[in-house]
Amino acid sequence: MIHLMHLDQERRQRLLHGELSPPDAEAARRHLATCEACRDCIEREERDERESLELLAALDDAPPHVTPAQVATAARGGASPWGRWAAGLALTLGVAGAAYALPGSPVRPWVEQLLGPAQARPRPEAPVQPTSQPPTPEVGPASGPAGTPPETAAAGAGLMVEPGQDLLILFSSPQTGGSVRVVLGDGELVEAVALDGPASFTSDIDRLVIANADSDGSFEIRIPLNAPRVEIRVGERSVFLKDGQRITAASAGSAGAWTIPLSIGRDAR
Amino acid sequence: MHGPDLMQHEGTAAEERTQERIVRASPAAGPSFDDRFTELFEEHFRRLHRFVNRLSGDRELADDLAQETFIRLYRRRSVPERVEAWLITVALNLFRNVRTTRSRRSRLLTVSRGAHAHGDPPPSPGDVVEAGAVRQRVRAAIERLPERERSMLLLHAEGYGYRDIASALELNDASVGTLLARARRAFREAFDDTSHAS
Repeated sequence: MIHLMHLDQERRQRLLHGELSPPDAEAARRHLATCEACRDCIEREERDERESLELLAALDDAPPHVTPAQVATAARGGASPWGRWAAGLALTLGVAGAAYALPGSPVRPWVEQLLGPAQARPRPEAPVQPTSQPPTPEVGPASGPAGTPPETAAAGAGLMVEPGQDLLILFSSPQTGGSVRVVLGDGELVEAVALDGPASFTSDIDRLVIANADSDGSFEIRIPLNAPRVEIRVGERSVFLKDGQRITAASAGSAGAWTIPLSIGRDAR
Repeated sequence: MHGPDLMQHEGTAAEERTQERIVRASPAAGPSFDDRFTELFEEHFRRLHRFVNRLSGDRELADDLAQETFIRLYRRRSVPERVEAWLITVALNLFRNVRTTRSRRSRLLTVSRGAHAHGDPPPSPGDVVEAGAVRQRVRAAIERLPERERSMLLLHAEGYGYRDIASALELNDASVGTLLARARRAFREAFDDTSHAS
């Protein structure tokens, strides 16, 4: 019997490791049933692999005792998510206060607009959390994702994501008021925070979505200087684009910051 | 209008994708990200740690890098489409970056010291010496391999598939089997060489 086609090394390895498609694997096995040379090769390669795996096991050390909860805490950058959000709120309020104090600042009329209706809408002293959450952050099931940013939140809530190569930040709807302050800075992550008003944050591959349909609040988005490409849209309207070092924005910027009204595009709907 | 009016023709498609992804991200559509993160951690952390430990020969570095990889996954707040390829790519990039600087940040880690602390009979001194010698030889043999072959061999030893290995090491998927066999052969030759040297 003439063997028209022995199994080359690639196919032998793929057969050994389950990387052949079912039809190709079946064809390979039929060939092995009739070809002693290929069987010898496969057996030798299988033995070599087994011995190599045994040797590599000599390098192993015990893994660390670390839980998903500990990793989640470390990812959020502190021992307690409460402290982090409080710090984040304090920081953003400080930035907002400085912006309010600047002569000619557009923040002043927005704050004055908010102060009126805000009397009927209590502003939390500290970040608002679902009351069922325990103080110790734990990642896992149970009611209320303890220690994680709630999907619907009041002031101070937000989301951090890696910019990747191309990130879209999408406000789902234009608003009647409010703005987004875009700041370029150091750091590795894109950070979006709701300064006031309800909003929910979700992320997916290459995008961060801010559902702001019922909001007229303001937001802050921090973008790393070295992020390759980040675009911000309000509804269908693109309002900010960082493409490498080039910035295109719907409002004039100053000192690495842009304040863009979130009412852009509302009239066009 | 004094700003960009970009890609208007993509607006509608983007809106549709947004709605799809918001629905998919809602709790009613499936497990939360935190639940999924826990599953992924329990499934992948130990093998990723083992890979980095074997690759680096530095247990503390492996502890740090494995944890940092999962920290980045958590911060991503979404599961990559090919999570295994993503994990090993991030871990490899971290290893390459950290390898020369060796900066280590403190983490909440407690390291288990010694599997023999729980009632197992202690190894004989001879066994310990022998195991140590084998470990040194294996380490020396692995270190002799080029980085790509070393990574490939160790990734496959952890059960990662050809497609993920090819993606992480930027290889042609069609040649992974052949390259893997060569890496294994080189490793065995290097290991055998260490026995001649000692």
